[in-house]
Amino acid sequence: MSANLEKALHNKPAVEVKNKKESRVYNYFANLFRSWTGTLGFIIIIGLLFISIFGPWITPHDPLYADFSKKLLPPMTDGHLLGTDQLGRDILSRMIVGARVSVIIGVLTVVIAGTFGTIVGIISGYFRGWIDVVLMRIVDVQLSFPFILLVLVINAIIGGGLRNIIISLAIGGWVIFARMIRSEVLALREKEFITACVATGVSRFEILFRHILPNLFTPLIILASLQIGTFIIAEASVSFLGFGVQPPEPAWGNMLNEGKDYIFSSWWLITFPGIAIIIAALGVNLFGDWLRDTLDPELKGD
Amino acid sequence: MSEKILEINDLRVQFKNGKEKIQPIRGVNFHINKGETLGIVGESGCGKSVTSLAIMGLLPDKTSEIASGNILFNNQNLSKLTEKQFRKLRGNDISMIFQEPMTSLNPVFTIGDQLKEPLKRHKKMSKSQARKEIISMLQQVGLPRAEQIIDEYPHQLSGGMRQRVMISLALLCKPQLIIADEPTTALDVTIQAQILDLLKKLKGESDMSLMLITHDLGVVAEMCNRVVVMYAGEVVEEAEVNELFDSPKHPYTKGLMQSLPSNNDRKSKLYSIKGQVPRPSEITVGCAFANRCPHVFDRCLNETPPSFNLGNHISKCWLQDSPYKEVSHNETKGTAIR
Amino acid sequence: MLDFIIKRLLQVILVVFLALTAVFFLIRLSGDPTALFLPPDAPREQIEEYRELLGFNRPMHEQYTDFMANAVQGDFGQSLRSQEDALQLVIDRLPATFQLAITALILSLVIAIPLGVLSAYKRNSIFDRIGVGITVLGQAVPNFWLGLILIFFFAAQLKILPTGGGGTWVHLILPTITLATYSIARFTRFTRSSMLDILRKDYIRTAKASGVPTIPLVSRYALKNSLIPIITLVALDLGTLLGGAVITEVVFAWPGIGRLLMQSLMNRDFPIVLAAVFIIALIYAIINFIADILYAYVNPQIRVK
Repeated sequence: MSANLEKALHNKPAVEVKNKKESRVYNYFANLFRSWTGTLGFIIIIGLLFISIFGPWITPHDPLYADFSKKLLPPMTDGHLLGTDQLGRDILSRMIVGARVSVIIGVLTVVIAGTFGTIVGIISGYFRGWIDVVLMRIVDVQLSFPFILLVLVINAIIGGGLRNIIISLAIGGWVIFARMIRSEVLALREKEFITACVATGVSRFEILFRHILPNLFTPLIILASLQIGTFIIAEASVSFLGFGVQPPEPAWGNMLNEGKDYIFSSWWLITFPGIAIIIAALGVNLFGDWLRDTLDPELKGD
Repeated sequence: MSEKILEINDLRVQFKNGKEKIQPIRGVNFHINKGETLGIVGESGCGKSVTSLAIMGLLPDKTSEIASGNILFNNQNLSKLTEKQFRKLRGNDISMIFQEPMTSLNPVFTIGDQLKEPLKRHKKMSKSQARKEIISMLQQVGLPRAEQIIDEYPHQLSGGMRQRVMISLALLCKPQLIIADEPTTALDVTIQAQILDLLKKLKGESDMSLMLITHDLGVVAEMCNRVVVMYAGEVVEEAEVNELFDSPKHPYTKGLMQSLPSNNDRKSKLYSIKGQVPRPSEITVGCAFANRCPHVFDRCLNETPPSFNLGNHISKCWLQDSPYKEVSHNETKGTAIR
Repeated sequence: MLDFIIKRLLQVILVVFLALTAVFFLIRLSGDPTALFLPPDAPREQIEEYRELLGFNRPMHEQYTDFMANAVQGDFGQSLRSQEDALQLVIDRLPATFQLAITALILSLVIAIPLGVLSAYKRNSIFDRIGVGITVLGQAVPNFWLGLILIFFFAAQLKILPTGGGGTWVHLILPTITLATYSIARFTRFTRSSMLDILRKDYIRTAKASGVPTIPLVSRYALKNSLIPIITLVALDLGTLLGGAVITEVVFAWPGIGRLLMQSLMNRDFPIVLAAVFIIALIYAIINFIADILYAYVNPQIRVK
C-alpha cells in the first residue's frame, strides 16, 4: 500500500513532546495577546507592580514633605506634574506611594481571605455532615450583611491602619471563597475519577490532596484575581470615609477624603487619585475576565 | 415521476470560527417527493442536523452561511428568502420536530401558550378558535386529558407526552413538509415505537411529506420510502428503501448494515466500522471515507469520487466506476452525474 | 408554600440574631468598652461612673443576655450623644434611605435590562460593545469618587444642582445617578449573560421554527426565562446597593441610615451602631425573602406544586 494511505490513516501531526512546559507558557501568552482587553489588563498589572516595587525610588518629590508656600498648585506648575495638595505635597509622588498601599492590601487580603476561605470550603464540601451545616450557616449569615458595611463597621471598631484594614477586608471577604470552593469540591466529589478512587480504596486524605486540591487551583486563581479589584475599591472606600489607612500615610482613598474639601477650588485633588483607582481596578478586572474566559470556558459570559 | 416538494442542489454550508472556516456540508444533493417519507441516515456529526437547520433557515446567522447551492421548496429558492418571508414559511409550510423533547419546550409557558403561537401568527385565529384547534390536535396525537394539558407546564408532562406535544406543534398549521430530527432518540424504547406509529398514522391521514433524520436503520426500514445516506457532509448513497437494504452499494452503507445486530445470529460478534468520522477540517483530497474503508485503493486517496447514478440508485464511490466493476458486485454500468 | 415562608422567617430571625451577636462581641472584645463609649478626653471618675452605670463591670455573658433581652423588645439603649432612643433615631432615617435606594434600583433596572437584552441579542454589535463597556467601566469606578466628580461638574462648575442635603427631588438626582451606576453595570452584565444563555436554548429554536418573529421572541419568550436568574442575581446584589447607599449618603450628606451609621461610628455612639446594624440586616433579609417569593412566582416549576 502506498505511503499516501499511511499518511491518510495517521494524519495527525507528530506531537513534539519536549519543551512541553515552555510551549504551554508560550501558548498562554499568544492567547493573551490575541485579546486586547486581556493585554491591557496585563500591562496595567505589570505597571502597577513595577510602581509599587520601585515606588520610593521613582517619586519626583518626597511624598510626605509639606511646603505651605506651594499648597494647592495646579498641575504642570513648578515641577509638580499633577499639582500639589492642601499641604503643598506633590500629588504624583503621593499617588505612586499610594499604589504600593493598594497593591499590598489587594494582594495580602486575597491571600489571607483566600487561604481561610479555601480551608473552610474544603472542610465543608469534603467532610459534609454537621460541620458543613454550621459553616455554611455562618457563611449565609455573613453574606446577608452588605460586604462594604461589614468591613466599615469592623474597621471602625478595631481601628485604622494598614494591618487592621487588611484584617477587616479579609473578615469580610473570606465567605466568597468558602462558598465557591465548597461548591467546586461538591462537584468534584461527584466526578467519575473520584468515585473510581473511592472504589479502588484510595484513602480519604490522598484523594483530598492528590486529586481534589490540584483541581481547585484554576477556580481559585480566577476568583482571586477578580476579588483583588473588589478589595482595592473597598479599601479606597473605607479610607475615603476616614477609616482604613490613616493620614499622613498616602493611600488613594484618604487622598480623596482630604481632597474633597477643596472640590470647589482645586479639581486635581479629587481627580487623579480617583483615576488611579479606576485604572487599577480596571486592569485587575480585565485580566481576571480574560483568565476566566481562557481557563474556564464554561463560566464565560458572567 | 411524482412532484418534488423539496430539492437540494449542491448545498454547501460554511461555519466560521474566528479566522478558521470549516464546511460541515460539502455539496449535498437530494430531493423529497410530495407525500413521501425520506430517511436521512448517518452517524452523528455527518451533517444531518445542519442540513435540516439550513432548510429551516435556522443556521446561526453570525457564524455560518450557505456558501453555495440552493434549496428549492415548491420551486421557491429558500436560500434567497428574507428573514420575514422565511418566518411565514416556518411552522406553517415547513415545520420541525426536534430531538430533545425535554428541552425543546419553554419551561415558563403553558403548553397552550406555546402552541397557540403558530396559529396566531399564520392563521390569524382568535383565542377561542385557537384553543379549540389546539385541544383537538392534542387529542389527535393521542394525549389524554387534552383540556387540562393545554393549561399545564412542560415539567408536568413525561418525555413521551412532551414529544407528542412537539408533534402537535409541528402539525398545527397542516404543513406540507415536516422535518423530524431524531424524534425518538431521547425516549424510552417502548415510547419510541408509539411515537413512530403515531407519525406513521398522522402521515397516512394527509398528503404531507416527511423528512426523517435518524441513525437507526431499523426506523428507516419501518418508516421510509426512500433513503439518503450521509457521511462527512456528503450524500454517499441514495436509493429506494428496499433497493438499499437488498443491495447496498457504498462501503459505508454496507458497514452500517453489518453493524446492525441480527436477531437470528446471536453469537456473532457485533461489527463496527473502524475509526471515526473525520472532522470537517481534516478532510483534504480524495474520498472522505477512505481512511475507514475496507476496499480502499490509491484512487480513493487522490481523487474525490463523483456520484455514480445506477438507475435511481446513487452511490458516491470509485467502486462503481467501470474499470473496477469486477470489484463491485457486477452491476449495470455506472454513469457519473457530476 | 406556608412551610417555605415559615422556614424563611426563621432564617431571617437567625440572621439578625447572629449579626447582632457578632457586632456586640466585636465591640466588647475590641478593648475597654467604656473608653469606646466615651470621648477620649473624659475624666477618670466619669469613666468609673459610666462603667458602673452601663454595667460593664459585670461578666460578659450577663451583659450579652441583658442586651439581647432588651433588643428583642426593640430597646437598643440611648444614643450616647443625644440621649435619644437609638432605634427610633435609626427608624426616623429609614424613609430617606429607602427613597434613595428604590429610585436608584428602579433607574438601574430600567436602563440595565433593555441594555443587557439588546447587548445579548445583537452580540458583537455596537450595542454590545457599549453594553460591555459600561459593564466593565462601571464596575471599576468607585461610587464615592463618581459622586465627587458629579458634584464637581453639576454643583461646583455648572451650579445647576445642589451639592448635597435632602428634601426635594432635585437633591435626589446626583445621589441616584451615583448609586445606580454600579448597579447598572452589574445588572447589565447579569441580563446579558443570562439572555445569551437562554437564546442558546432548544425551546428558543422551537419558537423560531414555529415562526415567532424576533421582537416577541426576545421580549416575550426569552426575557421571561431570563428573569428567573436575573431576579436571583439582583436580589443577591441588593446588599451591594445598600452598602453603596451608605457611602453615597455620606458623599451627598443625604439624611439616611448610612450617614447616621457613619457619624455614630465616628462618634463611637455604639447603641446607634447596633440599632443600625439590626435594621440593615433586617431589611436585607426581608428583601431576600421577597426575592424568593418573586422567584417562585415567575418559575412555574416551583409554583405549581
